[in-house]
Amino acid sequence: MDRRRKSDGLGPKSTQSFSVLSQPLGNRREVSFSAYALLFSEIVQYSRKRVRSTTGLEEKLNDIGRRVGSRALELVAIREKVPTRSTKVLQILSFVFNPVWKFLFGKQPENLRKVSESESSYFIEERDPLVNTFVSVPEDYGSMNCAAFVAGIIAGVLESAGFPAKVHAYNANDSERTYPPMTLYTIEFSDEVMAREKRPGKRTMLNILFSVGVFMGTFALATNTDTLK
Amino acid sequence: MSKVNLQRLGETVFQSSDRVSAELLALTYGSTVKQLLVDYEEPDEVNKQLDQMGYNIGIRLIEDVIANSKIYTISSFVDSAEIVAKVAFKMYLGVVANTVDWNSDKTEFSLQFDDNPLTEFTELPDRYSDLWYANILCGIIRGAYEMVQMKVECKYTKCVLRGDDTNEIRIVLREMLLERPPLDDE
Repeated sequence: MDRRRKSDGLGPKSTQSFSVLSQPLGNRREVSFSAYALLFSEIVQYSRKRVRSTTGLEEKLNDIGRRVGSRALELVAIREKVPTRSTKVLQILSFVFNPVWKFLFGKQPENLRKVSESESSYFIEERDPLVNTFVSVPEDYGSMNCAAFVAGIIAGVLESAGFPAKVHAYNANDSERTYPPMTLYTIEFSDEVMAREKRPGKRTMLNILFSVGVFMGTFALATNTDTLK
Repeated sequence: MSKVNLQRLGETVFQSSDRVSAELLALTYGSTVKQLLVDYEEPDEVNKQLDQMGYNIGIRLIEDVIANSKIYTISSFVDSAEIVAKVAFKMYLGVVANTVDWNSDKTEFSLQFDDNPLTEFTELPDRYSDLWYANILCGIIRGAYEMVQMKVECKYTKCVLRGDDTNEIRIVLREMLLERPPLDDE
């Protein structure tokens, strides 16, 4: 399976690149949660200094999460030994809901629901996202939710699987619990995904392959450190 | 405390703490380095930024180390080296490092470790061969030492991503800081 790496694979270091690519994937190590929490807090601090608004901060976290998501997809798909690619929205959403979340955070979110008003929107509810454990948002940041990072991960997974979508993290207005509020990830699929959903049959597979090909191409451009676009 | 005891201490604390997947850490860290490369472009600048980020983490990490390991006093630089290698590395990264290449004054040593969870799935393109990918560790060590009144210089000397056979960080004690009263006593 082709793997996205931060290298172009060419040049005198290519012998080294083969050794990384040929390493087995069975190694499931752990590190301390505090290490992760400290790193995440530093990421937030760093991003905060470079933006001018809370939406900017959320976007930055979203971007960082996206890269994690696209790589996580490949890893989880290999480990889960998924026999076929997800071609339907519900398939990929339940893939995200179950194995991907388990791989990343060791648990599952609370709920996966469809937004009744719009046919392209779904949302995932999560109580206490891992990344928000040691985060407290001051008053002047309003409704900022650092789980924007996780939203980015979801967006990354969906895009790499051929389902481009916009994902945002919000604090839900929860009547049962006032603090901390439940985190809602709203997933809005792009028009082409919804158009594809409606079309039945073999043509769907071709469309998926085509759009995946396009996205892999754009991702190759985006992740290739040669072109910082 | 002997090396073996420290190692056991590190293991115990690590086992009893909450843990997350090392791959999640590796992917998150990788994305952060990529973001820094996009923002700063020059590997040297990124090295500095990673060191600064590490410093900010280190000044908070040390309290966590002291609280969890219950090591309240560090008697000497030599002892501190063992604590960093056997306890702290184990507590956070789940790997153990070795202290090697001490100088005659006992003010410099190298921290050697084969396995770095941060570099999982990573390889360095030639363009970034000046980048010390896991330079955040140097900053963390520097920040932590400063909170226990020791000013050190921390530099990566060997990295597997650059083709070396192991990872090595050189730690040099510059001065022992004295407790200073705050500048304005008002």
